[in-house]
Amino acid sequence: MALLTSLFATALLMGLGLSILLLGSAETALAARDRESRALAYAARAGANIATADLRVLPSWAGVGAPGIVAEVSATAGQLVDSTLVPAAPWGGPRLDLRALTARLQAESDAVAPSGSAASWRLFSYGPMARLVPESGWQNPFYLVVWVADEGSNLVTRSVAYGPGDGRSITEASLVREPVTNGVRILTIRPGS
Amino acid sequence: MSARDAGAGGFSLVELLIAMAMMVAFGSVVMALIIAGQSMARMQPEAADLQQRARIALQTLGAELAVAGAGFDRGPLAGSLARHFPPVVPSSDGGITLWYIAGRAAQTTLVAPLVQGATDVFVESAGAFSSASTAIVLDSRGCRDVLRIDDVTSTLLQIRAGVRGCDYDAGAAIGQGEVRTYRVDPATRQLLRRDEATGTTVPILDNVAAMTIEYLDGGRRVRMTLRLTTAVSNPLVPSLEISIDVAPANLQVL
Repeated sequence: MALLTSLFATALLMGLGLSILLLGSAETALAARDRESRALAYAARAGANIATADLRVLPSWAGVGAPGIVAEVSATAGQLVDSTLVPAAPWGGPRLDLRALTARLQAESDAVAPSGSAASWRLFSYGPMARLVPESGWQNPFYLVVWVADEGSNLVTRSVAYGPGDGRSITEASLVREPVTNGVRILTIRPGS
Repeated sequence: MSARDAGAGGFSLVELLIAMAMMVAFGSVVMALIIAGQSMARMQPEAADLQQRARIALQTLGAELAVAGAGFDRGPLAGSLARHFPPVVPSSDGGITLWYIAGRAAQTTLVAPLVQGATDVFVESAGAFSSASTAIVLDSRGCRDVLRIDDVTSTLLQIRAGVRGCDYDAGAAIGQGEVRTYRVDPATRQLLRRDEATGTTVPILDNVAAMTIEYLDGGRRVRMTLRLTTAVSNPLVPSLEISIDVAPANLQVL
C-alpha cells in the first residue's frame, strides 16, 4: 500500500515538475528572443549614430553616396569597413552578400520613388558589431551595415543590424549639413522602421 | 513457544501504532508536496502570461515612442514634427497621443489648396502612398491634421470627409504616417489603441489595471508605467508593474 502510494505520488510530482520545466524552458526561449530583438534594435541605432559621427568629421560630403572603386561602396566611406563584401555571419549562419543586399535595397527604393528620382544607395559602413565592442562579441553576434543615399537636399542613412534567425532591425535617419557652421543636423530619425 | 512464534499471528498494538504514525507522517509529506506542486503548476502559466504581456507592452509602446515625432525628410518643413507642434501629447481621456511620419518615400507637397469639406487632395506625386492608410498634413504655421486616405492615383489622394482644423495652401507638406492614442479602459481593463484617422479602437493588451504617464525633461522624455494583473485573481501571482522610459530621438534633434 505504502509502495503504491509513494509510486503514485512520485508519478504525479514528476508530471507536475515536467510541465513546469517545459513552461520554464519556453519562457527562457521567449526571453532570449526578446533580448536578442532589443539588442538588434540598439545595434541598428548604434550603426546610425556611428555613421552620423563619421559624417560629422568629414570636411565635405562630396564623395559620400558617390560610387567608389567598388560601385556598391561609397567613394567616401566610414571607419567601420570590412575586408570583404561577402562576410561571414558572426552568428554562424550563411555568408552575407552585401552586393545582393545593396541591389535589393536599390530595387525597393526605385519601386516606391517617382520615376528617375530614386537616390542611389551605397555602402558606407559595414562590419561585425564585435569590432565596435570587442569584449562583448559572444553577446552581440550581429553584423552592421549602413547605406547612404544622397537625396540632394539631404543625406539619408539606413542602418541595418543583422542577427541570428533572419533577425534584423533598421534605423533610418535624414541628415543635413548646416551651411554656416558646417555641422551636421539630424532632420529626422526612424528607429525600428 | 518462542517469541517468533508468538508474533506470527499478527502485529502488536505498538507495532501498528508505529506503522500508522509512519504512514501518516509520510502521507503528510507527500500531500504537502503535491499541494505545493499543484499551486506551482497553477501559478506558473499565469506568471508566464504576465511576463509575456509585459514584453508585448514594452515592445509595442517602446517602438511607437521611439519613432514618435519623426517628420518630413525633404522640403521647407523637413525635420522633426516637434519643430512645428508637440507630437507626443496627453489625450483628453487620460492616454497619450503620438504623431509620426512613417517612412521616407510617401512624402509630398500639396499643389492646390485643401479646404474644409474637400475630399480630393492634389499633390506633386502620390506614387508612394497607399490606399486605406493615414496621412498627416502640415503647413508652416504649425497647422496639422490627420487624414484617412481612401484611394490613390498618380497625383491625387482621395481622403475621407471630416472636420479639419485648418485650410491648407499649396506647398503644405503631406506624408503617410500615424496618429495613435494609447489609453487604458478601466471598465474592461484593456490597453487600447485608437487610430485618430478613422476613430477605430483596438485592444492591445488584456488585464491592464492602470497606466500612468509622466512627461520628463520638459516633455523630451516619457515614462509610462503599466500595472498588469492576472486574468483570474491568484494570490500567489502578484500584479506586475513595468515602466517604459523613452527619450524619443525626434524630440532630441530639434
